[in-house]
Amino acid sequence: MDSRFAGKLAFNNIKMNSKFYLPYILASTGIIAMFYIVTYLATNRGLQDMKGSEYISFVMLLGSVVIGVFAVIFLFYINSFLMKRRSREIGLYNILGMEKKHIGKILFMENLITSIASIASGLVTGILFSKLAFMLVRKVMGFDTPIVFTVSVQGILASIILFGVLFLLILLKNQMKIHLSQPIELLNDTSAGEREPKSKKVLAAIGAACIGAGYYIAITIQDPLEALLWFFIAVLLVIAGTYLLFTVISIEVLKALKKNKTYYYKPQHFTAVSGMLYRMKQNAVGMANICILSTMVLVMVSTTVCLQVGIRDVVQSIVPQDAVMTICDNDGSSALSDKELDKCTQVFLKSAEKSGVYTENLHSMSYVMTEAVKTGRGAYKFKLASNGLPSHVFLMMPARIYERITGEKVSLNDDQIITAGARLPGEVSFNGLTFQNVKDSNVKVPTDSGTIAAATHVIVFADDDVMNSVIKKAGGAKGIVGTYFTAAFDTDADAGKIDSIMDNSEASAYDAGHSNYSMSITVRSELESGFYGLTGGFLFLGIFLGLVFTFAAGLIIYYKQISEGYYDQGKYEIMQKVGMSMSEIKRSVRTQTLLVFFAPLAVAGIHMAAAFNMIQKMLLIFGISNVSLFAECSLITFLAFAAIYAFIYAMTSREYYKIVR
Amino acid sequence: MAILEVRNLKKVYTTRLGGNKVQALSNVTFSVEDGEFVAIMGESGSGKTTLLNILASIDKPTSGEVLLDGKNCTQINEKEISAFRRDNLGFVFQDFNLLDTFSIRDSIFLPLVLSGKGPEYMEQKLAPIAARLGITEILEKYPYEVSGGQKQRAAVARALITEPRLILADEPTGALDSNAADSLMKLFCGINDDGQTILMVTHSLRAASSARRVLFIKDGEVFHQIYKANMTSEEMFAKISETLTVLATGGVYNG
Repeated sequence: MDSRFAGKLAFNNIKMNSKFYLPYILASTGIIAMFYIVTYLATNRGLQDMKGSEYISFVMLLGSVVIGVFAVIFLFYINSFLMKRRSREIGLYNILGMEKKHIGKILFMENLITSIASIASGLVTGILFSKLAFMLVRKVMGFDTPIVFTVSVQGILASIILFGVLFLLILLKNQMKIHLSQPIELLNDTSAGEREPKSKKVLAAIGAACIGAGYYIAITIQDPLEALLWFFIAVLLVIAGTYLLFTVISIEVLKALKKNKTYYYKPQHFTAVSGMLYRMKQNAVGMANICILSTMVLVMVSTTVCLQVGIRDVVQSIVPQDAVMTICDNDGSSALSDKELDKCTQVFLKSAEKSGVYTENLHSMSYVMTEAVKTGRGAYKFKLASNGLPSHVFLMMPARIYERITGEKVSLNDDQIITAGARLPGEVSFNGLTFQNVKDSNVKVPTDSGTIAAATHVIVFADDDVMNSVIKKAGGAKGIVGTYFTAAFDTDADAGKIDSIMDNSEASAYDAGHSNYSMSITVRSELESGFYGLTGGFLFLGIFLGLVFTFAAGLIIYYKQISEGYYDQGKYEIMQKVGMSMSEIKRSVRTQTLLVFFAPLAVAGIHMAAAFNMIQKMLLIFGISNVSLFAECSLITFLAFAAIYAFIYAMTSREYYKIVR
Repeated sequence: MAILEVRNLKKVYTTRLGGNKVQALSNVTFSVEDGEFVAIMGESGSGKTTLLNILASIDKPTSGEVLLDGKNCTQINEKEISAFRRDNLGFVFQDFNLLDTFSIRDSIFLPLVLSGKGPEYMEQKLAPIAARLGITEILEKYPYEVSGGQKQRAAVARALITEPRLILADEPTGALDSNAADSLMKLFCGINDDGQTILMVTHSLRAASSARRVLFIKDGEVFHQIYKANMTSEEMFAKISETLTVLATGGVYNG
């Protein structure tokens, strides 16, 4: 057989099986395009002039690894599905007198055509859309886009090498299958194995235990850093549990339903329950895949959206105005007196003037920063975090300073406090001293940009004496970071000028009797772009991977619908002959497919709800403590995804009905 | 009394791309009396299957009518037709048509479940039929676990359980070995003796020779018929064989 003939046959085969091959080529095209775009962004120079670009590059590199690994698993899965559908045809070729050598040649040509088509169209699509992706990244990070169009040679090479090798491996696998099997096996492959699934009680119990353990970890975890560590363990447990849930637990449930005779022998349940029992076995892995992909989409998108939206508040809380200067007296343990505060403000204004920075809305204040661990509800103990992230930071000030910044008169009893920042209960105690929380204020107190804690609280005490006694009770400097002087202001000056205020002021001018100082100036626009580099990168990747996985889930659903269509085709004929009307059949099919397709979505929703606490704790690492914001993001993401899922279902079930009819 | 009357049945298939018309049945008229066992014979393409599909109300004739107990089943509307089929007709197919998803018991129950009968009623109905057909032992098994003969007996049980007016069998022995085929035919004779009316389409001489009457179809028309009357199965076999030879050589029958 010459290559031209083999090529012609191969081309015809693809055309005849376009129902299977077209989605395969489209899926490969999509994945290759996405892979190219992500590597393009990872290596793009146009992003490197931006602040936070090193984060973008890193996040995109991470993304390209994820997409690469996913592509390998996914394309192998789809290929094995395709080969199973076609094995009958190949067996027939063999019996009709084609040697395996010839079949191998045809398969080789087929794979060559699909691979070249996929890589070529994938790269073209990727290059066309990379510009759009580039603009999107710059947009989420708050930059305009220069009008340049570049092509990443590295991206193209990486895509060609990765997918070339991947397609080659798939080809080898197919060739092996042809050479190792007997024609009669191939002929019967499509209809092989129709047995009622056996019940596996032990595995079902293990599955339930896995999900239970994963949920338990996710729901009970409190510490943000622990959440980060345990997250992957919980994810692995839930993934394992999900596979077992769909493969064995569902079968146990259906068997129990079947045992209940009065339930089972009802027209609306009879065919559905027995049909599902079989579908479960055939489709359990597919359903588990869809469920896990859906969960990943939901978690990634909701988290990254929340991160992007929530980070604004974080920046706001660190730098409530355009810029803030912070001086920390590391040996201090009480707030500056009014006189000292005035003096420092004057010194600051003079330095600002020297740098040519005109300040507006200047708010200067002083507080003592302490770090603490939570020992109970509303109970805290001062303690410096030995490493990593302090869980609670308290910014403590006497009422006079609060009055100075807010302009509002307060009168507090000695055992009363006003709080701001992260919410505290009605009763708060520090090292055993208890106070009544009489008011939640929304005053904005700038913190050190280097200090991002799980929760930052502002505490206003009745006067300096009360505050000092609290600090004294802590036993000297234990847990005390120092006395802060901060000056927050609005200005039109650029970041460089603002930064030069530090050079134009002598630390000693602020001296209040100590010598261990640190001084810093944080400009909001700079902080924002640094953060947005990270969150914007995550957001982009979250949505991007979300699309990839949704796309993959959609494709699995499509193939499931088609293969089930072919599988069910004969069944309906029989049922009709036995006396089931078309409308009865349709109703039974609808309940079955609805259950089979929406069960993964429902389980994904439950997984997402269970992960809520854990992810919320992890978001605290970024300083995002707004629970209702995350709840909103989660809900909106779920609804949007459910709508897309329903759309995919509706489109693919049309294909199903076309086949069955 | 005629349980089934077929009058001037005509079926023309039109190929999808227009023009070409294929006449499957040109003019078929016959009737089946209550308690009869009739076989319809003919070569491939003679219109047997088309005829059976029309009788089963799965297909509609181009013209002509089919009366079951005096009721014209070609006129029944789409909604009632499934219930009609379920209550009045029992089917036995060449390839058994058992669903893989059901155990033998559930396969037999299927038509009863669809008519909304309860589990006790169904069990009660099943017990004597299963005993009669010798499938009591395999009720819990699945189609892939039993032999072809057993599958076909299960299919017969499914056809019998609704106590239909008429059993339609389409090549029931087609997928069976000769032993299984013989015992199935004995079973058909037995249930026919009990008063069950059977109409069977076949091109197996052996199967047809069990029937009380054999109709021959050629080119979409009833060509000839033989009554078994007092003949033994062997004599009937010889007679059918003779008729088929005449049919095949195209000679005019003059016996």
